Amino acid sequence: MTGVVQHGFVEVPTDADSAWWWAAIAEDRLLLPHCDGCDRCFFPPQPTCPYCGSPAGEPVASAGTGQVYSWVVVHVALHPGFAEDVPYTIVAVELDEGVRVLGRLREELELTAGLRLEPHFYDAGGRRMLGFQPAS
Amino acid sequence: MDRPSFLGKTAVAGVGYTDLTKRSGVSVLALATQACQRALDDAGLDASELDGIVSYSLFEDSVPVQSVATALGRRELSYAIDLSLGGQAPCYAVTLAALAVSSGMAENVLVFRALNGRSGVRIGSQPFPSPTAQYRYPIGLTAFPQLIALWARRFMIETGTTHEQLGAVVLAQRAYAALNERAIQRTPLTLDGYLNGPFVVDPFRTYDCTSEVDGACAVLVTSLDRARSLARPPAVIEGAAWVTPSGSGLDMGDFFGWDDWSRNCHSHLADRLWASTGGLGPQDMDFAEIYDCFSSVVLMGLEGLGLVGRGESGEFVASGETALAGSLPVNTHGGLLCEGYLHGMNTVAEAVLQLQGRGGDRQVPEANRCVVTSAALQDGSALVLSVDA
Repeated sequence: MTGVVQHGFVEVPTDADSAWWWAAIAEDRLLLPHCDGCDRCFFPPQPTCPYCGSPAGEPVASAGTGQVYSWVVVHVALHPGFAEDVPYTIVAVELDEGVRVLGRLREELELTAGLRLEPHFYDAGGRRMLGFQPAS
Repeated sequence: MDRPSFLGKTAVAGVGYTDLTKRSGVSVLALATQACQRALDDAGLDASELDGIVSYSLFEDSVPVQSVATALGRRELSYAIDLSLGGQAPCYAVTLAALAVSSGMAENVLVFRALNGRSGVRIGSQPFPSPTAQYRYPIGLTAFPQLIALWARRFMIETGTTHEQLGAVVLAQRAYAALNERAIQRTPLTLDGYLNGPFVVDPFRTYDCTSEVDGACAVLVTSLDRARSLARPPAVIEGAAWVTPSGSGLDMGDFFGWDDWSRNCHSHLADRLWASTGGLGPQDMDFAEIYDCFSSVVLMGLEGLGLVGRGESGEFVASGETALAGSLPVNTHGGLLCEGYLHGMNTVAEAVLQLQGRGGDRQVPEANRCVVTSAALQDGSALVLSVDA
């Protein structure tokens, strides 16, 4: 597949809870927060496990593969930063670890729930980003 | 759980609106003050007896309640709350007012929402700062229509709800708006017209999105006993609930961990709400005023509250059951989609007007009990209101 998927970008600072997650994305790696107490992955990064309240444990590496849970196709940019990008698709992906994340779809295509996806890392606004494309 | 003691003993006694326009030309304080004064006048209560005000706002688009107390003539308040909440708030704000009345903290409490929502801060296109914005903004997911469209899509996947059925919600509410002089979207719409409308964020067309307006709306909450002595028939608060469900995440935009995006807050409010009424259920409602920043929220609300079964809401609306002649009139003012986006305060006020028999051409026959909601995503609130038996 070809083409740049994203021209627009809105800068939002990372924070003390998320810095490690973005640092991994910058290296084309997806890490997921994980709880050693209940052995579940969760998202987004936060100080404690949202399922059981235990302190967050060591993150685990994820292949970033999963399936389409939901998606929208933006036709009207509601932020001027994305005016050149429309139409664009944002997909909610249920990763194989049971965690949902959001990302841009690499190129526009007809989606169905359950379609298998894999990660596609790309640059936008000087930041490395997690996107998705159909699994090969 | 015992029934909360304020229920059945407090009431909404009056409502007030400003005109709804695309450009008010006046300050939010002027709008708030006018709506509040009109609610007092409607109830026949002198401002000197006002001792509480509750309001809510997002993005600093409103004015603090103290400013309205000042504008109404240097009033002294014993109860004053500025909630930093959006569409979850109006039913909850009424509940907080009723709790103050019931507990003796205040006797007569105004609840208002005021905004120059069209000419000033536009919530519908506003990025909202939050801890989890860093996972949304950089990919181009910047505003509420896009967030709620993700839930709408999953609802369509899970239930088989169609674009035509989303359109049926819009058409039904346009029909009510045609009977409501206050509404700003009164042009009748056909299904073809709807389907030919442009997408904002698929599955939402422009028609599926609320109509932003400048304006204000207020209601007056007091004890049932006091309300009986005022100018209008009381709308008795018979049920009330707020819920921050398990899995609500870190902020309004964090639904990563929300188990089922095809079920919103309404599904989590239902049990608490009906239990709070002391015996009423969905089958007892004569009409419903359901929060509708977007069309899909109405369908998820009908199902979540148990007013219809899972997956049945689209057909229910498309077959005319929510129209004035249907079995359950819904959003009789045209909703936020068509009357205008007063952030759900007008949804509460419409319920009161109907119970008072003041619905005019859109009056629901036998309007004795209704459910009102303030919810679109994870957390939110609801009320059951009734005529004074």
